Amino acid sequence: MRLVGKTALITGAARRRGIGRGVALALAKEGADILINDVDAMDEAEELREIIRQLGRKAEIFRADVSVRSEVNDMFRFLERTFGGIDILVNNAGVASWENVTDITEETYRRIMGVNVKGAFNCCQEAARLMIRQGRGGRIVIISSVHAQMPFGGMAAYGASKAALRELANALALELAPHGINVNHIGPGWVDSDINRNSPDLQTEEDRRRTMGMIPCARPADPENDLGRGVVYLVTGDGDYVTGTYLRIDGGFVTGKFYDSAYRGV
Amino acid sequence: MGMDNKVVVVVGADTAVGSAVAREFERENARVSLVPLQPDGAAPAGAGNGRHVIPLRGRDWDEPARVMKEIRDRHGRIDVTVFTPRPFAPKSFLALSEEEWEENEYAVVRLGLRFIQETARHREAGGEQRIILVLPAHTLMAFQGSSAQSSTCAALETIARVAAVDLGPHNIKVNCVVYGWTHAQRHMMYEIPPEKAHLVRDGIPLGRCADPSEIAGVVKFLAGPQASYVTGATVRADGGYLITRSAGQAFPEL
Repeated sequence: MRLVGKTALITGAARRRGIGRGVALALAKEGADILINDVDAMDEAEELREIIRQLGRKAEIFRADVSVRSEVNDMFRFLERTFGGIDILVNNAGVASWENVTDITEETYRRIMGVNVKGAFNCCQEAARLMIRQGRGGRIVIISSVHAQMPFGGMAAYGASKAALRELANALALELAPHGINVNHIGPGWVDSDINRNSPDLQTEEDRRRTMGMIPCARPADPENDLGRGVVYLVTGDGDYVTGTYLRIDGGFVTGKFYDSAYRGV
Repeated sequence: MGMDNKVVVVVGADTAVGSAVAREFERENARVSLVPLQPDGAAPAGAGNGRHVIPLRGRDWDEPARVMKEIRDRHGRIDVTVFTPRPFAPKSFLALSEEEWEENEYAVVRLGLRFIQETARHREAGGEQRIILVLPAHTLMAFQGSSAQSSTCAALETIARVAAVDLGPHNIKVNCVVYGWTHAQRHMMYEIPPEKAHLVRDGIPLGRCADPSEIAGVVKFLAGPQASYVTGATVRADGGYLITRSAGQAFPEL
């Protein structure tokens, strides 16, 4: 239990199958108190809150659209009032879409850049300001994506948003290090979460088999055990000297061209 | 694909690099349309073959569509689009306002995406198009004070790579040029006191800033026949500045 007495805010944390919930559970099991943020799925958020409370940790929910600054400001006021401060921000909220680059509409563009990038700007800036006022440093983890390294066709807006998060994390690592705030980003590969339900690569069992076959580890990432534990590494003492790093947790998905896990070579 | 009579659109023609690109293509007898980014953006000096200046009138999503349609109507087609965003001064992340963040996003990502889309919209069956984005060093490496510009430029560079995938079947090639320090930059981006100029030069293996024409030459290569099999590439024209992080930083106090 290495995070007892620490408070973590995790954005986009409500969904049962999502990365945010996995991270929340991993941090709570290390002793952290958790503020659960989401804009939707409040029933799932309440379920998560009860699970965390049963672990003996404090847990609350704040519904906010991270792309709207006033809502983010309200969330941080609630955080200060209710938890007394913040030690860890996990910027996880994200949306995705699939279309040819020529078919990206203004609505899609604004939604993806708003939630994924402007949301990170809003939350990171408020968290950093609060951490600096507190004077005890802090940790910021941005959940980017393998797209931050290797974009995929048909996902220009999403890929752009994740590349933006990569450089945001890097710039923040440089600027916030003097304040004792470490900033890193994690690139998850395939996760069986709601964000991927519209993926053209996962519409049928055959799609799924083919997609999983492209992952050297031959399975999707587990939100808590694979990704949540990665966040734990970055936000505990193990990560004291780690800032500006990209931790890719993808089962080898974008290591190189890997076509089929059944292939065994010559 | 020689440049003679090719229709070339230079978006950001009122930047130093954009201006140099326009001159390079005019020397090659291309038909160049200049799109300044600022409403009062001055077109670069120099006479050209069929020079055409068409400023952006507003910030609507559809404004690039109007601009590109007017260029297509005038010249009959669009062969090459070069987009270079206006540079922003560095600023501490903690001090950035919401409006400044959104201005960066608009000026780099949204405009870049829209001009890629509107170029591809005017493709011709059996034809070829080239799209070249010319971006600053922050695209590939973060600096103190570069959070907004690094984020937005990295986003646009990724859009270019995905566009190369999505538009490759239409024979549209999309590439990026990333430049480092240019002589012109100090007038528009980082005001470097003369006593600190050596700090920049010391971080550049070639030991000097680029003349904007040296960036334009790489853009011309990517638009020309020798780059017919190049797409999704990001070419650094930075004198080696981005090879390492050593020195080369003389930014004002943030």
